[in-house]
Amino acid sequence: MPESQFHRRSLYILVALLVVAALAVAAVKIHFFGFSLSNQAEFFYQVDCAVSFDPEPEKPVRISIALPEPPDGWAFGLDPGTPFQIEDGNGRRRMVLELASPVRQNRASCRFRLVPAPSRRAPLPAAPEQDVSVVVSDASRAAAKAILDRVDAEKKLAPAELVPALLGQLGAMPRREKRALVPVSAGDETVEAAILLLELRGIPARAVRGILLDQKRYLQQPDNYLDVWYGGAWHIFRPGTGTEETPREFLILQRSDRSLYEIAGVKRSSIGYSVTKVPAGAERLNQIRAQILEKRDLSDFSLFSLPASEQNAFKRLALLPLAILLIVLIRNIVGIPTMGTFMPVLIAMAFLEMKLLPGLVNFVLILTVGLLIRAWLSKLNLLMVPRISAVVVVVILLMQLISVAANFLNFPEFVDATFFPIIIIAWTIERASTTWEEDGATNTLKQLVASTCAAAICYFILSSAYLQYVLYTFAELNLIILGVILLLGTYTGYRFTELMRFQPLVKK
Amino acid sequence: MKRFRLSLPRIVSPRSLRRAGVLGMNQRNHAYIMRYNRRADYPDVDDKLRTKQLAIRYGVATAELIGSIESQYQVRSFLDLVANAPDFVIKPGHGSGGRGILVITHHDGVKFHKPNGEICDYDFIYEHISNILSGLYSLGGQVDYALFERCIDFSDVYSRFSFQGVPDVRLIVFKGYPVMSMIRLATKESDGRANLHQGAVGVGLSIRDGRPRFAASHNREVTHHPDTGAAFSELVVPHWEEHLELAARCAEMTPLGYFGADIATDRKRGPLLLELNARPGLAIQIANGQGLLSRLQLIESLPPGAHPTRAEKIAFAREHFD
Repeated sequence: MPESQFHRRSLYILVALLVVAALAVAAVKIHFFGFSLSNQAEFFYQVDCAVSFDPEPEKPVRISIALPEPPDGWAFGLDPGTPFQIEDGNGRRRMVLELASPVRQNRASCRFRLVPAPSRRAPLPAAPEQDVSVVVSDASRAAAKAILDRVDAEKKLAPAELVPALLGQLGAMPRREKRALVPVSAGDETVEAAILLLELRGIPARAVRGILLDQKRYLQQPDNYLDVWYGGAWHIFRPGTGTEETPREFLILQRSDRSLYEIAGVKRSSIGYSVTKVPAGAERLNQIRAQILEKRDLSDFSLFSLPASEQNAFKRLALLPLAILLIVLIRNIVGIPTMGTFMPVLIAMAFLEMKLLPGLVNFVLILTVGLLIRAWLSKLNLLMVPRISAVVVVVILLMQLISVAANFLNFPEFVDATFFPIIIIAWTIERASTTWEEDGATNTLKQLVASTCAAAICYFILSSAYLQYVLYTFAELNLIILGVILLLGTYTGYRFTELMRFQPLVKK
Repeated sequence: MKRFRLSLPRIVSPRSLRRAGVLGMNQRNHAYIMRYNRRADYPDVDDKLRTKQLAIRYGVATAELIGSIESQYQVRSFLDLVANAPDFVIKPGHGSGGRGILVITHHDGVKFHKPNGEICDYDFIYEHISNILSGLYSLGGQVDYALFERCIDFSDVYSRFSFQGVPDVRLIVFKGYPVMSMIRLATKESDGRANLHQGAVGVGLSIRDGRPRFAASHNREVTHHPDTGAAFSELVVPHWEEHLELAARCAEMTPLGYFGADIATDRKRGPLLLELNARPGLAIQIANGQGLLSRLQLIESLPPGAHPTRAEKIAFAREHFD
């Protein structure tokens, strides 16, 4: 039939659109907002940069701190609570705080965060300008050449080997000799000397100051490191040992061409950095990351922008489409009849709140007592609506009774009976009781057991924390579930139970 | 006592079912009910009063209508309604699957006799009508009315084959062709009711001549009635041609393309339409030991207007559906 083919084709197109839309939104979330597909609890670094100072009387204080350069795969952002602001001055972004006079404090803290953002690549480092003319005195040049000849006379060593060797050599030298090489420089002698030596060899190098993130230290002073350019990238070496640091754990706080911090209006000042590793769930990290990556406006469309109470409600709802898909599978593909279409899903959601075993016991208890009371009610010749209403009231009272009794007997896991969908249970009781009268006990129990098993199966799938995380964080994946449900709507094949039911029709 | 036979359920492949022409539930819903039955036409079969009116207009014989009760305040006066009827049946106007049907074989205004010999009183019937009105037996629990009909005077021909109850012939009618048929016979286990899932026996009938072809209960072949011991092979459905005629006529009174017609035989009036069903079940295949799909597909493969008259459709069906 061409008409049905048309319907089918438009359905396929619709489903394809749904799937593409869902995947596209998920991809945007992963790549641009840095949402994580893994629900593994992670951490972020919280760095406190504390500046202590003695304010001069009657003068405003202005503090400006160099913006840290996070390593690859990490995103930097100011803590929302910090008083510091990011300012753009002469193309250099710095963290700035201005305190109006009179300044009564002698300490200011700038808190910022480094959040793992796998898709975040640091901008490709600019290659240094090659024509650095080394301005150095003849005495220094001769001394430097002597050192270089000692380390690598034939100029054979590659930079990766040359730098550690040089640093080792310099480390063994007395401080005075190093100072003689670079008499005018104010920085760390070993680093400055190494820069001079490398530049004589035509290898660009610079001094950086930074901290290692994985070392937990309080009010840490930034250490001096040597940054060497070769092989198209900068490499960071620790001057004392000559070892190369993995850039993933190294936070550059300052480069040689800018100041670590500037402060005006004070007499004395010092700076210290404290790094804290803050464990955080994937959901919170996603949120912070989206804020940091300055996609706040866009990510506000996600469920995370809602108040916490609404978020919790939606967290539970996030799994509902999957559960409903399960019901479609159980009814239309497996072919198990359940008592009430969505009853098992709602019971399973209640199990989620109460854990399976207490939930099952509660459910069977409420159902049994409810059925007994319903059997008694049927003797009173009540009309249907008042009778079901009476069952609803009885179910509510039963739940209260179970909760109070469980509380009294100290079974905390049974206290949460309130999570059962009351109306659904009342209808289940009503339906079970009429089925009992008309189709007999066997059929009723069969259907009830099938429904409870379906609820338990739903429970096991829905209780997966990972599924809950993924379907909540990437709510658009529910569009794919919608597509699958639509496709199942056209499934005209046999149900699994029919393979048994119609087995006698197959001639041997 | 019901005996449980413990055996592992046998499973067959979907392919072998397809080869046997078996119609599955999903396919029935999607390819037949949804395609050939428009939602708007469902009241033709779901509303029993409407079915009755249609039947009268199209000359389809049905049980005699006594009246109906629509409101709760009328329930008290149901005795007035049945005062002149020695027997009656109360049906929910929107019931399905035989739910909520109460049969009273004779009464004196105080004692009401059910077919199984039980006697019930005014209150019982009062409550039953109230339940019907409140929608207990209707689809989706909507407010309903109670329909009063005269009992069908069942012909004795089936008495050997049924434990109490009302044997009725189910005919599946597709695009005006009767395609498959069975007679449902009550057993002790089914409590005198003719519902297959409650343990009644379904005996498949040949469309050609109405002769029994196969019999099954609980998905298993049976040859003799479990309670009366009568051999189903001896069963004869009288007035078979009238059954077919009645079923084919039903296709003219409603635009529904795929439905089941339930027909009972009255001793004096012959076959009468009990009710129509827009979602006839699939157990008829088991009762016939044959799949329905191949028959439906044969009808679908016919060019439009291949058999313009009722008689031609019946003739085609009798020729092809044994």
